[in-house]
Amino acid sequence: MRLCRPANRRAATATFNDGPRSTTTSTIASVMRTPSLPTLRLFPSRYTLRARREQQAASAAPYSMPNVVELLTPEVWRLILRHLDGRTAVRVSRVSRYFRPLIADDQELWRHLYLRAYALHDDTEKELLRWTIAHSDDRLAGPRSSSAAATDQPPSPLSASDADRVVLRWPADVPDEALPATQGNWRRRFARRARLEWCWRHQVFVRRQLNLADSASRQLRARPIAAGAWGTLLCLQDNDRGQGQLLFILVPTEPMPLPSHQHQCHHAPSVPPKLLLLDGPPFGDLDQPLINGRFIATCGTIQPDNPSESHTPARCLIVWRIGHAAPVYRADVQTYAQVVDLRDAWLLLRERADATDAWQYTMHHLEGRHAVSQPFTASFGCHIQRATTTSAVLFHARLLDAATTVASHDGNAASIVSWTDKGQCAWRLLRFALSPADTPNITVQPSGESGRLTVVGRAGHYQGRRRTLRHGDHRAALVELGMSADDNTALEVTLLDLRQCRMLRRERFTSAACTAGMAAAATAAAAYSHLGPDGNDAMLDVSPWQLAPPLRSPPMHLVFSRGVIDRRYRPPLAMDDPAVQLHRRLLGRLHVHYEHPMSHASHPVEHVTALCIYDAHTVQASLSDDMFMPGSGSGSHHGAEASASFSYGYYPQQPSAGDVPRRVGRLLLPSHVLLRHLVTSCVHVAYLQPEYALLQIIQFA
Amino acid sequence: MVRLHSSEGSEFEVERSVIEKSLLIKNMLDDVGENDAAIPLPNVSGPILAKVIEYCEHHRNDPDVDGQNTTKPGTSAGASSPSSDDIDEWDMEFCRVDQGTLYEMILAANYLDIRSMLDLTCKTVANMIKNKSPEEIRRTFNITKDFTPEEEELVRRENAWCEDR
Repeated sequence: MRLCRPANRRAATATFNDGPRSTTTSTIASVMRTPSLPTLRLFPSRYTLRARREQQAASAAPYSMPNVVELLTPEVWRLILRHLDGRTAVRVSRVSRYFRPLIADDQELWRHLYLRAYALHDDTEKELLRWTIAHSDDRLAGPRSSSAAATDQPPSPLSASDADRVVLRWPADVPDEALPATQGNWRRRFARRARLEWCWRHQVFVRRQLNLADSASRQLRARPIAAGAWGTLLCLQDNDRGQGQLLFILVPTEPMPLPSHQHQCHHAPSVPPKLLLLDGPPFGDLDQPLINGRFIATCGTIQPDNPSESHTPARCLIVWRIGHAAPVYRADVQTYAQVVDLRDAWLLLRERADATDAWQYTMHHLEGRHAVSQPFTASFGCHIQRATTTSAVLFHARLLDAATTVASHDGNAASIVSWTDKGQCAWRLLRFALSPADTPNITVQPSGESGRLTVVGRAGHYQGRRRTLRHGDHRAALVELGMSADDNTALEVTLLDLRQCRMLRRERFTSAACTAGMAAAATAAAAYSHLGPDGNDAMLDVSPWQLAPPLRSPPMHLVFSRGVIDRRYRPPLAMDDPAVQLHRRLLGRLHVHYEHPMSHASHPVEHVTALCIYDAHTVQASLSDDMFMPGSGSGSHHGAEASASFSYGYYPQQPSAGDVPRRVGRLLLPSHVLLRHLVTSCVHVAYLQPEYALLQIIQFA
Repeated sequence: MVRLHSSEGSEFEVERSVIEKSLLIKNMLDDVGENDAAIPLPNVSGPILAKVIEYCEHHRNDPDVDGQNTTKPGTSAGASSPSSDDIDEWDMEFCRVDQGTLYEMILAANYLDIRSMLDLTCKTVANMIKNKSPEEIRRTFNITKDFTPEEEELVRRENAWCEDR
């Protein structure tokens, strides 16, 4: 590189021509040290720093920093702001009048900040974005406050005018993939989302009571069975005829004035919730519905009008669009049928005619004129990994039988023995595509990603529970729980990277390494697993709710934290009451758990606690904190002082080593609330007080 | 080789493959074809142009990152969006200049359309903003507070949702 000046071009060329690159650098440095450079302003320019410096030098004033506001253009500022987080962006908006509209009016900036802060590969975040969109719609914004109007500044997301408004809206029916591109006030959305977290942290909520006495007088028994961001789903059961219906309770958003560092602050609601009785056949029994931001799906047995007639009751799959009473989809299914997964408009169903048959899976598209795929089997399990408007990717895992395992293993006897000693599982991705509208159908194509791995059990030789789980868009887990008495592997979790077709981590827990109590739990309970959304931590919860009395064993909670396995055991529990359930959900970034030190005289349960784990640090903190009820341990709680509590926590999306998540709230609930009468979502918690026929709704936004 | 003229008339010769990290210059060169004429860059001073060339020299073999950090409508920024913390050592040292020079580098990168350099310099400014209060930001960047007390209180209140953790 040559570097020349017009005045001494020859000398410069002689000095630097063909010089080594290091010389070039030093040359540049030497030029930069040149005290005075010729200034040539050919065009009027906003590039005024040099002129300003010269002016300052001429006036012999000491050097002062340039005014960056005058120097950098709004376009450059927007680029800088994109590297900030929402909180810092707001601080910048408080710096001067220049920045306030620059930041507040830049919807693209807020969209960027929102999508970066709340990753949409998490299902709960998708639902929350849908929720914030509906609750931040510009058409619902209140008039500008007088002061805001006077300064011509944008309305605040939480200004008084907004706070006075009650939002009672159903979600817009937007496909998941279109959510990030929706137009609207992204600043309000960000503020609404941030405020929800603020309410979690500060325990600011609206407490509602819905009196179900009327339904009780009509011999209706009501119980909450599911919840989503939009509200609570109640099952109303006719005591006489046993027929049930679903009632959706849309909970209005009650913008609350922001208290100053108040805790446990709750406000009285100003608008009652909206009730929507869902149309459908009278159900005899009903599975727990799956709810996403668009649909409610469940399977139920249809109760005949005349129960005395002896015939096999029909079972059906039924789907409603949220906000609509009429079902949008209905299909007759076999005697044993369950909705396995619901993602966007894609539904995965499994069914079988007899309890001994293999499960047959079918994919349903709820908008494609009821297109259904051909049945297929998945002996290990399957789930919907990703979904778009017209296609879905299914994670499919099956156990290979011995013959297939041997035939596919090149005849290596030693390997065959080792491979067939355990089972072998083959996984792959299947792509389901919706055919054009004129021929509604679902076509299936295997995707490129596939692999094999050893698993605990062999096909046909193994009694266990298996399940596959989605872990973000490109990860999946296989969970296997041993049920065989002679198998010393009690529990195994395998985490896969689907893009690289490789196993990321495998955790095995052998009964030999466990206490007797844990072994009992592992062999008797259902594996129920949640994987952390940060991509590193996995949480595994062997929930005890399927413990059959009189078996007594503790629930087991394990934490995988970046390879470090932390095991926590609870003291032996008395699980005499099969109705008692532990409740724990991972709700995106909100992780809730339910502690229930049952002490009511009518319940012979001494102590039931579901432990909420965020990571190993939190476990430590929780154990030394009041995660366990004071004085609980293995002792019993009798008397009126005992209570159940609902705890909720918050942890950052990508926790770092020094970032210890903390439990941020604790709500005391009446001790007689049964966990099976409690449902949660990120936005609210609902529980039933049956003796008072009251439905309590605690709403955080 | 490509000859560049800075705003003061200083001339720089640089390999075409190096300076083509600037989309502005690349497009110019594509338009005019083989030509010995120097390219005037009236908006870039000599010292800053030297910094730009130094950057392009160092990153000459980097893959084209044009627009990599630009989240277009309809796409998800998500967790893959780069953080302002991920600046490598050389780049960090490269940006260790006084504020005036840094701003000139930003403007030059913007003018010359060198996305990666613009991204780097913007990240550097963003890092200067992080973890600072509004008053500290004012002090850092020599910004005058022009809010009236009433306006300041209004802005503080309307952003309370974001301030209190």
